[in-house]
Amino acid sequence: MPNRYPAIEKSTRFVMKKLGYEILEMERASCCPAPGVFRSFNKVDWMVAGARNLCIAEKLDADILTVCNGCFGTLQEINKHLKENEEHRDIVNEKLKLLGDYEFKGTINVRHVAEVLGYEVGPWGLEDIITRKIAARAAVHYGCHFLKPTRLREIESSEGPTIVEELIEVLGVESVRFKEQLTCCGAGGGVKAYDGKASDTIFEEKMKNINDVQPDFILDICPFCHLEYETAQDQLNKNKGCNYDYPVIHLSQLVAYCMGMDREFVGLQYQLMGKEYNFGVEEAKKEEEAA
Amino acid sequence: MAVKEEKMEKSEVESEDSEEPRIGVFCCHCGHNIAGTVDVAQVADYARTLPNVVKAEHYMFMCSKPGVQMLKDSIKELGVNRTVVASCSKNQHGITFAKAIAEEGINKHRHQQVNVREYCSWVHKKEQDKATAKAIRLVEAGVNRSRKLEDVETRRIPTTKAALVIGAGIAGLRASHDLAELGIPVFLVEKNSTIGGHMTQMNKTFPTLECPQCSISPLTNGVANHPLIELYTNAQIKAIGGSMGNFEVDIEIKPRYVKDNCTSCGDCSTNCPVEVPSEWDSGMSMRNAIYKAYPQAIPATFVRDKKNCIECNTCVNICPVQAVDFSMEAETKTVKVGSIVVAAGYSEYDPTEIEPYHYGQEGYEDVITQLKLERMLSPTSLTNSQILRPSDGKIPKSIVMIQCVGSRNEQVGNKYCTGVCCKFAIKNAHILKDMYPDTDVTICYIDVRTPGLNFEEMYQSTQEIGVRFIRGRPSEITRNPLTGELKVIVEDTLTMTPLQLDADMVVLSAAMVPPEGIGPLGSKLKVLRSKEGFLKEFHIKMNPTLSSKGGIFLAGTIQGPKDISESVAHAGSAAALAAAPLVRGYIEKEMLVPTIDYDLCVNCGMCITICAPAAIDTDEDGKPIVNKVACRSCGMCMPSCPTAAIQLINFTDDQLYDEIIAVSGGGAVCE
Amino acid sequence: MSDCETPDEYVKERINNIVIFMCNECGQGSANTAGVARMAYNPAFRIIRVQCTGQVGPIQIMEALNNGADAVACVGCCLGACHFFNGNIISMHRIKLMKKVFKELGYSDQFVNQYTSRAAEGETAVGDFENIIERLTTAITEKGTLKDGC
Repeated sequence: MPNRYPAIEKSTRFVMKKLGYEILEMERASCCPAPGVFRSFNKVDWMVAGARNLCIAEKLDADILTVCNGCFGTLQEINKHLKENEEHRDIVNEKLKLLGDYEFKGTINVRHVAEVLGYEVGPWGLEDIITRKIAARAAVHYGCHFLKPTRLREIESSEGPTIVEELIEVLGVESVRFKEQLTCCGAGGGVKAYDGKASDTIFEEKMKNINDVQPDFILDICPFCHLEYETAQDQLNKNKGCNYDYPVIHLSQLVAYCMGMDREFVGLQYQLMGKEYNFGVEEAKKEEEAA
Repeated sequence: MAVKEEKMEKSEVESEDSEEPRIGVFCCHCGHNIAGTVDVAQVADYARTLPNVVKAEHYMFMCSKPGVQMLKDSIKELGVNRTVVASCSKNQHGITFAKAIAEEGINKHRHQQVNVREYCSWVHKKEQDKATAKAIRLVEAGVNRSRKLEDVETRRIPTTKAALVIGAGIAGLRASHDLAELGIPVFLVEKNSTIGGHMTQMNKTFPTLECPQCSISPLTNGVANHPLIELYTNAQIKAIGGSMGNFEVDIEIKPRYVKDNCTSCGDCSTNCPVEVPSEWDSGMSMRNAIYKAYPQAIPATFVRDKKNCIECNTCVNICPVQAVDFSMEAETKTVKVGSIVVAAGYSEYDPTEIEPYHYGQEGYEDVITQLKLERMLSPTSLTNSQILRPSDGKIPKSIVMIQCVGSRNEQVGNKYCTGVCCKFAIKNAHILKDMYPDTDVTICYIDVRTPGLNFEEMYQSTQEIGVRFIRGRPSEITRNPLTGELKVIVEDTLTMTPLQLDADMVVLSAAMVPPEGIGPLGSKLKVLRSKEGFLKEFHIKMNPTLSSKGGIFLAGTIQGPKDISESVAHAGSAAALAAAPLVRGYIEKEMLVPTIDYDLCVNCGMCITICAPAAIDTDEDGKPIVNKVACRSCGMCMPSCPTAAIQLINFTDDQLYDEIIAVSGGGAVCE
Repeated sequence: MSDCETPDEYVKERINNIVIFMCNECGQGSANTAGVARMAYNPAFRIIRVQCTGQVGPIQIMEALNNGADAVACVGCCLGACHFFNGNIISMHRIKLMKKVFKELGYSDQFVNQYTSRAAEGETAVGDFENIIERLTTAITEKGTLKDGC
């Protein structure tokens, strides 16, 4: 995220600050690591690398906030697993000692910005803080690791989630349901790297379904999905002669904007797709009135 | 010798008045079977030295006539009042000797059988010294044990000649009828307003495709008109007291608000302004606030649904015989019965919790269950027996049936296979394909289970008319939000192809689960339940119709999923078992029951908790009392008591201790 | 243990009294069947019949051990077949607790065991007996018998 989508990071920080949360920096944090590729190679080392990040947060005595489904998937699962499984905890702590003064104690929790906003702050809590609303129709993409597996994540049922839709409703965004809404974007799990064709097929099907409902933009809660939606749309246009131009917006960007963040920081000008989109005419009107 | 004779005379006199134990020990050679390994004479010699032993002999075959006579003579001549025979097993000849001493006036429980054959001589052939030593230990243990044996009476408990049947579905009806035919008055209690249960809700039964209403009609009419059967509908069990042979049951009868002189003309219903979906019809038709569940319902008396009634009084005024009476109140009736048959049936599993199938959710009205399908097909349905999609009323061009919904599913907690769904799905698929040859009918299965005569044929003929069978458990039913079209996502595991089946209608073959309300009913009956929630049978092979409590019998699906033929057979068995003590007039029971020393009892209630047949009640002061009729003599109450206040007769801590010290004390006597 | 004695012999010398509580249903049934089939086992095993293994309490077990038994075991019906529904399971829990007590007291927990058997299969009883000897062998060769105050 800091690499490719600094705007998402900045939006998130803005939102959190406005809500009254303090963001502490995690010194020496590494890649989560990825819940698909890394884990399938060596589960123990994956747990060790993740646990190290968790230890950094434990030392700061603060919950970890993730903005990405992948990071959430990895860290939340490792955190929960090591809290419950003594045997693995001992194995991991043994290895952590080799990396430095790290010991997993299981004192913190891992959060995702979508559920912090969706449940902890909640739609009404958000409504009190936002300064402007927009009018738009969005295709909401939940992604994979946020809700699944339902029993481990304990957020909401992965069969019919409404957490993001209810949240964005107060911002004036209507979620349009499309066919097979809850499938993967095609990028994660190492699929894109390993079997690009399969990844493209999945994505193509998804874009077709999204295109059928003609949303104003696509809303995601994961920078990896964000990347996929942007670059793969481009690929489809080039290779398959499609004509997609849907802007892709991360939840943090949307919320930051509604909280009053300057448009240039929200980062829409760096969009690969839908460059002209700027949250609709309504807000332009409001700006005029303000001026 | 002279001295001994004197002694005998003295002891003869003594034994008549006092409780002094006079033990006779008899060691059997059993030909070579025992004597070949164990030195029987040595054992008898040792036994003679034990306290209270007045006679110790060994003999070739104790079970023979002369052998048995030895026992009897010892009682007559020496005043022996407890016998120990060291021979074969208790099952084999323990009874022989017990009967023999009973014939001489000694309570048969005063015989102690010691097994030195199966437990000793036959298994230690190569270690004769050790075998003899062990036999001596076992005999001493037997002697010790016999010392404190008490009389145990066999009581004849007269039974009440009447039976209670809970539930008037096919099983309950069959059981009631069979009981009544044996001359036993029956109280039949049904919680709904009509009898017949789930069978009457079916459209056709497999494999003959007969109409179940027609099949069951003679039985329902027979039961309703039988002079010995008293039928209570709209009624539930409030309380059950007593034990086998003599139960006292409180029945609560909810008011019908329509008197018995109702002629079933239906004028009230026709003019009732209120219309609500019929529960009996699974919502496939409407009923009024005053109604009869279906045309052939028995009893034919109408019933008023107080909750939905707006009390316009139209029915009251219009009834030609003034049968409608809003002032009727609930009644409680107490009946005395000797046996109880539980035939409370089952409920259809509610697939709402299987989220990927979206049953009951908005937009998924075309996902229904098999019971709803049966009602849709029936002659009185809203759709006029046509199959129409609930969402738009059109005839579906593709129907997908999903098997094992709620069965064989560890995620929702039901591991078992209901065993009936494959049969009824195939039956319904056949009917659907016959009615709509142009509609695609597909069944998604994991395994097709159609055992029994005629069912494989049904399965094959259904395939032949074009019903498709796909081996795969569908992962989800998806809906296109734009068009509302449903698709069933399933992998055909035989060809390893993932499929998306178009489905205008999806029919879920839902499992059979324990009926609603079984929890409270089960605790009133105090019977055990299986881990799946059905009522547990006594022995799965040898006694599937007896519950965990004597006098309470199980009939039909309450004991586990089964189809109609199995339910009928099951009910017949329950009726026969229930009738036996009533026809005979009494129950004979050995009073091998525990006693409670109230000086030691601290009222902790542990014995009550641990008793599996719930045979320990509390009296008005809250102290535990043993229900001697319900007790099964297991003795589990004993170790649960912290003060050893409760002791099982002839198995007391004291008596067991005597046996234990003999068996464990002293290693090998020969040492 | 002297050099010329194998563990089995060593154990056989020290063990001459094992009290087995067998239930009146499957327990004693399986012992009977074993007898009928002439299956041989160690004469140290002495059987006491009880109504149900659920009836055997800590009192009975301790009495046996205190009065000369080298080990105690309960043999009941196989799971699901208890004539009194759950007596064998209750006995199982009880024996488990007793094992814990023994361990807390510093003894080996192999001197008290719970088994199941099947009335028609004598080998289940004999198999249980052999298992007792196995466990005792391990416990005794490591720590000695109860009488030694292991």
